[in-house]
Amino acid sequence: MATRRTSGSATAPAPLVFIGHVVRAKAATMPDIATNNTAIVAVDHVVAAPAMFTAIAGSEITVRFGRMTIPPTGSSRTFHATGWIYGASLAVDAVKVEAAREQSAAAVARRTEQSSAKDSALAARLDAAHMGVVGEVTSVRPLDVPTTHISEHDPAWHEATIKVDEVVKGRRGTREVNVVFPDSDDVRWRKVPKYHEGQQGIWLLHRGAVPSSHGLAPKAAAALPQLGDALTAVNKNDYLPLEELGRVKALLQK
Amino acid sequence: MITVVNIVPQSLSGEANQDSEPNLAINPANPKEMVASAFTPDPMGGPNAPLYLSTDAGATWTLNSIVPSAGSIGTGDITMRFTGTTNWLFSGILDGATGAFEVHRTPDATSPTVMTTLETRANEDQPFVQAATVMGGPDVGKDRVYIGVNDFNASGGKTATVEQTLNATVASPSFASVRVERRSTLGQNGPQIRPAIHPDGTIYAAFYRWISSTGSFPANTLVITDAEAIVVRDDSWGTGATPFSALTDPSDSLPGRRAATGLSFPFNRQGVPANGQERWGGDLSIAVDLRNSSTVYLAYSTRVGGVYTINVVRSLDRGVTWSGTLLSISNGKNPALAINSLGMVAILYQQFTGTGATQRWETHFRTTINGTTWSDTLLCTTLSQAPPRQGSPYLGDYEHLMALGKDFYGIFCASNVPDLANFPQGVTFLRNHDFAAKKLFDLDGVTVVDPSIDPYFFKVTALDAPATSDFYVRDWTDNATTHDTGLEPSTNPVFYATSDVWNQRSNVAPTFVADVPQNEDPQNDASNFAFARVSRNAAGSAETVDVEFLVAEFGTGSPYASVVTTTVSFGAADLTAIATAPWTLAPTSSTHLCLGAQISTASDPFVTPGLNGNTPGWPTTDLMVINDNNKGQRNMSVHYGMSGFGSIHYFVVRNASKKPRDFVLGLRADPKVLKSLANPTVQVQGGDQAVAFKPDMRIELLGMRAGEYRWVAFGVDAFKGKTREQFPVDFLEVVDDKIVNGCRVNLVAATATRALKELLLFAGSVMQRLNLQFKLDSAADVAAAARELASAKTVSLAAYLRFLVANRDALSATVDGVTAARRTAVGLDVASSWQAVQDAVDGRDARTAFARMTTLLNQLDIVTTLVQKSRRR
Repeated sequence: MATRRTSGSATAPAPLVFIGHVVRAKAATMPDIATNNTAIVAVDHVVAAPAMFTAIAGSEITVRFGRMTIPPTGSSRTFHATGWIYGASLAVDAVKVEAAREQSAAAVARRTEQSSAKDSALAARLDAAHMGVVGEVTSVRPLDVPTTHISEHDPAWHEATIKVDEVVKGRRGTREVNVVFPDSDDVRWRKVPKYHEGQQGIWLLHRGAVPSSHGLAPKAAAALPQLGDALTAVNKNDYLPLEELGRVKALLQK
Repeated sequence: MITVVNIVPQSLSGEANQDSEPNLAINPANPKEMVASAFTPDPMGGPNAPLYLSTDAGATWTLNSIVPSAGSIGTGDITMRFTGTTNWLFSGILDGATGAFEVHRTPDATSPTVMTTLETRANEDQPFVQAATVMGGPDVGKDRVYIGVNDFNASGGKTATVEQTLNATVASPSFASVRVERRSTLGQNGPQIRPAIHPDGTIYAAFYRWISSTGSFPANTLVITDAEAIVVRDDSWGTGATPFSALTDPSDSLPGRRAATGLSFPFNRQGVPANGQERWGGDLSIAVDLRNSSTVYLAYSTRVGGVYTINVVRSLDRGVTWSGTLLSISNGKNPALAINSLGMVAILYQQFTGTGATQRWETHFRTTINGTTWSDTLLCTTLSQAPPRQGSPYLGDYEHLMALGKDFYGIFCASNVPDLANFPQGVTFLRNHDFAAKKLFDLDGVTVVDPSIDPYFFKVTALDAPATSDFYVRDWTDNATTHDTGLEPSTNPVFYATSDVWNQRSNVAPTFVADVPQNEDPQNDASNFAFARVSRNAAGSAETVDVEFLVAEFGTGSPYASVVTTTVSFGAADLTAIATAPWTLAPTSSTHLCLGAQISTASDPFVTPGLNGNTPGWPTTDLMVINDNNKGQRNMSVHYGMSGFGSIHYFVVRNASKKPRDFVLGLRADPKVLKSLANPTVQVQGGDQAVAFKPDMRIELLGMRAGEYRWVAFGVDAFKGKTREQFPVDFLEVVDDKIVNGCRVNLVAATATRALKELLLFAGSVMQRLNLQFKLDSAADVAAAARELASAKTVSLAAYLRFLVANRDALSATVDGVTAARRTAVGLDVASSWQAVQDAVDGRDARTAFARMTTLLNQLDIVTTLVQKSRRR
């Protein structure tokens, strides 16, 4: 029997970070889940959270501590957590529990952590990229990719032409590149980056499917089309707005 | 009563994802346990995709992220089903990241343990899962899963496929890809391949054969201009060499009946405002009537006058012929059919209505009893252009409806604007909302959350009796805490040995051992009392329940006949009441019988047709009993024996066909049972010598005339077991590889006193029958002596020997008389059997004498039955 996968990589920051205090140990906010390593924790301040949980401050939730010791009742801590149960209340798994900081200090720490994680992910994409270009999309057109069948999950491959203003990685002097992307809004492709005419930014371009898959989950890499030497930018980190250029260049110089 | 619940939990009040394309599975073994799915990602970006989980019959829901997929994306297409009785949940998905078709399972959907991946294949589309547990026949207890997929790996454009596994819960189940399309296509089939399971082993599947098209899919202008709705069928769980070949089309004799032809519909790449933001691409749903696998309903799509339309048709002859359109729904999509245990047909669909800014998506639930008159209940109506589409599909390429017993359960997706005017039947929101303000709120209760698409669970209970007046007869009782609770269908494959229907030879208060009633075989021409313990799950008002008892001769081919009716009164606080009525077994009848009961009240009648006139066995009455909690039955052909000794037992089979044929019997026994039996054998009238009994083997009774009866014998040299331990062996009539009937020989280990008493009573019955049938006074003498000894408080082995010695001459005369009367005595050498008894008596071996006498009496009993049958004919 398979076991629950761990969330993300070892260096990925926990999605939920909050300052809270323990209300009651060995208890839970939902029936049937209380154990010796759960506690009801009041969320006093959200440091970082997915959008749908940013308003959780003021709520009591259940925290499962795994092998960690439950802090004393009433004590305040900074909790780093992943999701466990989403029901009438929220239950999370603590991955790290720290002494409570001032809210501003916690926010700074979180930003630092997130920035580090983002840099790490971006560096991986930069390292794997065939080219990095700064420019503007001048045209978008459907790509004639032979298909053997019709499916509602067809990626609807399109090709965007980018007028290159600057090459940050790869062969200097490149004036124009074409990048292939799935234009389909099907559930299968909805969250893969789309490009449109007039769009400006930084593209990290990967040649073909397999060689450029570094940094993608194996499953996602396996899903990439066999497009030969076509350049793709299908990872969420493969496109950045222009204001990120400084960060990109800094990472390239490391 | 209709309950509608927005299943997004309160802790996800801040979510605004387009949670479309829902599916629903309910655990038949525990209907309070349900899982639902939609295009919902893990809320915190975890590595697995979530299922919505309810353990309180849909009142509240949580997310359980146990589906191996890209959690931050969720899954692609996903459907799930529970097996029938074993709690396993199977899912078929398209992986959120790779798009690959995957099959998963878990033995416990409530556990946080991630589901196990069983299969991973690229280039397959829209998996649609159905599952069942085999409840009768040779594969009883096996879990089976059928997944319709559009497999683009198939050659020749014949992509419609059913992935099936016939033993799904073994360690490593194997899936076979059955190509159900047998004709040429446009290059592929449509993505909708929909299986439907009937518990008798009939499996239907429906799919579209695409023949021609115009336009361009990338340009979102593709139209399938010619298509056919094809229905295939398998009659034996897909176990044959060429599954799904049972139904052919007369035009080309190929498997796959054209249920509808000349169909045309768009196949959109993405939704557009003019189409209610939804993509349209052909819809398909199929449902089979649990009461009769010949009745099957189909919903398909086609343009009628240029308008996208759902048509509903039905077949009453296993898909051979199809009706005209029974129901037509313009601008309808996502049809989902289901048929409940009453035979009521229901359809769930969504309809795009109105014009301009007032265009809406309406979700309808409609039912019919006769196929022509349909009720119409509006579950939901929301504006079609809001909220804005986040992607495709907007509401989903499908939704789901299912029946469990008499109830219907379904799921659909719609806008989550909390406006009660949108939900004419009412609605419950678990997430933060304000119906007055018509707004959603975040976890802080203040921040307004934008509307999006959410899944809605619903249940229709108006058709069912409430628990206070839902009376039922338990199909099985293991002990006081583990027993049938009235589930429909019931969930224990052994539903004929420990039911709450039993016989007693006197009208004394019944005794229960571990809450199991104690059955006594009936007696000829003497007082018998049929009993039924009637239950309900909640106290209510005082009510009177009608109870009808029925009896059928043991074997195959003899129908139930009503023997007595009575009533039983429930006080307001009563949860159980015991009905009893006297009945008489004809003096010439065998005591090896099946006893049935069916109960009714005005608000809770038994499902028609009833047991009366129907032959006991799988699947006919067995399925009636399983599917309707108002019916129960007990196989009373129980043979009490002593551990360490064996005998031969007989039953009759009848060729119920109007033509001569070779009668095929399949054999089945639990391997654990067989281990307890020494040298089990089977022999048939007109066949060779007894052959070793092997599970899953088949034997033939060659050249049986129409209406002819013959005997079948099952013997063991000995068996070993503790007192009350049972050793059932099944004999199943097989026609065209399909099990159509069956019976069970049940050996029960008993104490010497119990075994001797039962045998003496059986001797009394058999001898009485012989006396009446063959005019043998000697038999009457033995009958009287046997009954006298059986009435003693205890019967010792020594007393039994004395009985045999004392009645030796009468028994000899009786055997001689039978032999003389039946010189060709249907191949049973009763004289040799009697000699074997005498040898044991001479050796003072009472136990061996008992065992051999058991064989002799069974032979005499079956001879009498066959003579009676031949004379009646």
